[in-house]
Amino acid sequence: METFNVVDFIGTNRAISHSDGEKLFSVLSKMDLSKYQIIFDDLSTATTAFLNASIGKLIVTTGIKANNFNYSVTSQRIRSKILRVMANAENYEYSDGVIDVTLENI
Amino acid sequence: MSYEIRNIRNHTITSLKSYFFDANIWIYKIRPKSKPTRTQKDYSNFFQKIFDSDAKIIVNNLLLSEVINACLKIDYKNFCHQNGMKMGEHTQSHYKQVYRPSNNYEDSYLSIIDDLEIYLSNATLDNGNLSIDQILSTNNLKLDLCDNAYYSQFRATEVNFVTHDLDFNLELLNVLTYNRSLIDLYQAQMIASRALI
Repeated sequence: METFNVVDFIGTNRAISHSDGEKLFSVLSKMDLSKYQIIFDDLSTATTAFLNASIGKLIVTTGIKANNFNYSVTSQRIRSKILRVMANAENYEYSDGVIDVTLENI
Repeated sequence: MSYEIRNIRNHTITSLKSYFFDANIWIYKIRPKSKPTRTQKDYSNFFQKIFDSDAKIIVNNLLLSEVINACLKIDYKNFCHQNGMKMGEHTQSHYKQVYRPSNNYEDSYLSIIDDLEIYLSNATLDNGNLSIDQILSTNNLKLDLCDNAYYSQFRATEVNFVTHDLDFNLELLNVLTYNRSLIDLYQAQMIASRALI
């Protein structure tokens, strides 16, 4: 299996911006993900916005299941965010609705 | 002191400027929708531009409290849904007695704080010097308590108040927005006030 290193792609170990996430999405969405392991190991930081714009969007738009997304991550904080983003993307009709209601009431 | 509501599309960021982002925009960043709207992405990108610049992001205790609590409740509702709970089971007592002591709550809290720590690395905490009377001001009954406190703190200042909330068509506040209705409302008032002169 080949590997795809996120840090090499975005050029920094701080994955912060939504736009970097979208750039990652645009590459991942064209790859045969069954042949790749996506490496997040070298990231020191990853925001929910970045992960949502990359992995979250990938799950929503391609329908790939979180279980079939082969990745590696060493940071427990980032792993936790990835799992949350994936779970919400798989249930996006509900989770987006929750956010809409929150935004209306805040 | 001028009063202006301006379209972010026409705004130039400089290092001398300071910005206060309304709670909604923080939620776009910390708990973004899986399918965000174009406008939500625009606010998110604008926030990022400010974050990447030398301009100042201002926060206060009230805002942080409002954002953290809202994000915790979002995660709680998603947790309930993903664990097959029905809407009627999302009770305050379940939240406090079952969810809050759980690993899921801790995980949610740490995730929110981790995002905030990243964005707040460039921010300034400014709670203003508001009196209790100002916080409890009833001058703007159309605003909720948090919004009223933000207004009291940032009215008649140079701070750019970034919001999508239509309620912030208020005098003495410098508002930046993508909300066309808010801009139109302001422009209509300007035209009407000029007609009276």
